[in-house]
Amino acid sequence: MGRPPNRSVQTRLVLAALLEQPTEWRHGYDLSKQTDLSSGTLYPILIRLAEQRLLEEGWAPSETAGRPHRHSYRLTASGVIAARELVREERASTRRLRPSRATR
Amino acid sequence: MTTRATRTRRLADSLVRYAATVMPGVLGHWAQAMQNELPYVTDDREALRWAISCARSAHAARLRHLYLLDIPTVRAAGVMLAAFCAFEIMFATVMTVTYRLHAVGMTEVLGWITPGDDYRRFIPLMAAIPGWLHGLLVAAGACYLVAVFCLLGRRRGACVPLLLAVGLTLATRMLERPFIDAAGVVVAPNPPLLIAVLMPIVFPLLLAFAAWSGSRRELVHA
Repeated sequence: MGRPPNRSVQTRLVLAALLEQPTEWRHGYDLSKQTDLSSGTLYPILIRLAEQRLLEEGWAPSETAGRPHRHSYRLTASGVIAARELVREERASTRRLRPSRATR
Repeated sequence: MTTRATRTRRLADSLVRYAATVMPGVLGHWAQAMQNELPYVTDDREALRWAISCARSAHAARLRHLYLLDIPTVRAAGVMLAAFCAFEIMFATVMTVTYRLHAVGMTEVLGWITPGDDYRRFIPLMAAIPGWLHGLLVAAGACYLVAVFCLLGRRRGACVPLLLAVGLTLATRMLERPFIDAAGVVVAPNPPLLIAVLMPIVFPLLLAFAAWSGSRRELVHA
């Protein structure tokens, strides 16, 4: 199992977004829109999660002709466990998870 | 309107390409990931915001991955500094040993590079400095030599011997003071700041910090 993830609000938002459909591959822009995080905030988090082996990454061909391949992400098994734990902890301790941002 | 949008998009393209060049090599595929995502951002202004944010992130990543001692000239300067400090700290011991072994020729040669160009004025000092203090000086010099070895071998553990060396240097400087005063020898009248503080203390500490930051980053990314 990888190292526990950072507990920042932004990391929680990314993990919560990825946890919605843990088996689906997600893309940077989609995650950015869903979490309201800029690319400059989102990518360092994705890089760190991948380094901690909580995030699986891969290249996927575009569904639209003429567009470049997209880098895709989904949680690893350890990532799912860590994300669930983090989300559960947050819900239990603060009860202030913003569903409009985390699950939109 | 269309022209402005196209310009905005072109600017965003340029910025995200620039971000890819700034991103450190180990994160190359992440730079590509950010770049490839841009065509999927349909709104031009949003694309520009995306690109600006990518550039900011790339600069931050560049700074985080900057390891000064990976730059050959910086590493060479570090090696020379540590070697010079080793020579400087062990000089008094070497001169004392040659003097006590009656190797006068060698002592004279060493005396040429002392202030005043004459070893004879140091004779009272060489007689006064106890052996244990020379032991500390040699230990400090050995630490500097270990640091030289670490830096040459691109080992990241150079900070430990450097810190030890600086600590021992400071300790010997304090401990030798009463012996120098008792001997009544002025070793170097009004030494410049570079020789008295920067070279033996400040620069080695900066070098140790550079080595420490590299080893810390390796741990973080392990």
